[in-house]
Amino acid sequence: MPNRFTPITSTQSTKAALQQINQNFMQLDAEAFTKTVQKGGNNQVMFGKLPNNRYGLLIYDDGGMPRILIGQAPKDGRPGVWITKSGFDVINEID
Amino acid sequence: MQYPTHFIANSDYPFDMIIYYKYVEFTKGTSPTSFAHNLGFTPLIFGSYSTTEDFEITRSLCDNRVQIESDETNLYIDAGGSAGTKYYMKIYGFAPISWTGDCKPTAQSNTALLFDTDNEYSPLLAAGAVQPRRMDNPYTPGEQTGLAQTIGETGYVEIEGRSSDISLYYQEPLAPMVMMWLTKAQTNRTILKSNTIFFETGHGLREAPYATYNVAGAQGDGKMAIAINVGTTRTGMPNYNDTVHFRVYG
Repeated sequence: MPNRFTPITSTQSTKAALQQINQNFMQLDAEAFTKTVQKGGNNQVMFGKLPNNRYGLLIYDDGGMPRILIGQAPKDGRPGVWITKSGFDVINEID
Repeated sequence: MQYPTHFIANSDYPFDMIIYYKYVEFTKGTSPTSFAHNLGFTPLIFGSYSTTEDFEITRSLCDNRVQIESDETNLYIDAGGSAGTKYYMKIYGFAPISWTGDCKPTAQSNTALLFDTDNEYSPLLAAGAVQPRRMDNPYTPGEQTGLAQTIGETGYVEIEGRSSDISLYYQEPLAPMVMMWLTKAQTNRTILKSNTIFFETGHGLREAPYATYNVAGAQGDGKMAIAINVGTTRTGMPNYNDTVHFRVYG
């Protein structure tokens, strides 16, 4: 599996297999709230519930800096579109 | 503090919309000097012109040679020069803040992209429609103090009312640009009065509207101010029902 779910092997005990299944379900459950796509350990895109408990689509630049937010403003949740220049964290720049 | 200068696009400040565009080839003496715009309201007109089709030398449509006025029905071209002189004009229009109806789509671009964040979008920090302050009305004390707003901090602001001055406070490194139009009640026509014209304190013109750029010092700590002078009036004066429209970009 290319992502974060761990396959269950035929040699695992029933207990270990159940633990692995539950861990996979936990991953799946978490992704029902937040979907994060990473590359080389850096976030590229985050969608859903964001770390600041607001909701939206967050796009990062190659350096891992969040630069585009389509979603709710951190302060009051008003919906909008914000795109910052290079070097500015879009979440920090929005009131 | 939300610095507009840190953003390429920021929906807390509108992306101003061109609601009218027309390319006109105008020959002095033979072309009609007015034509219908079919908008249903008076647009705030601006643009550029040239005497050559390639716009090698381009001038603003509010200089001493070519001006365009608008009313609810028509655009009116006032072009100087001798008969036979040909002008090429790119005419654009905004909707005044008082217009809340529909506008026809005018989307155009010199590339395949209509929205392209490789280029920055100037945020519309403020827009307004303000009439001259009445000097002889004792029931409007608010008109004695002027209108003031802070721009570039908490999103787009609109300003309406009567006042001789409008003070717009902002923080460096913001460097706002002002566009102003005057609707003369006597003719009911609207014309662009200036574009990015600033005068430091003490160099003010006496014919409203004009904008004064106030350098730091009076405000301190990098605080700056633009003062838009709308003028004063009294009952029965020709400018009593004039309106100054303005837009401020970051």
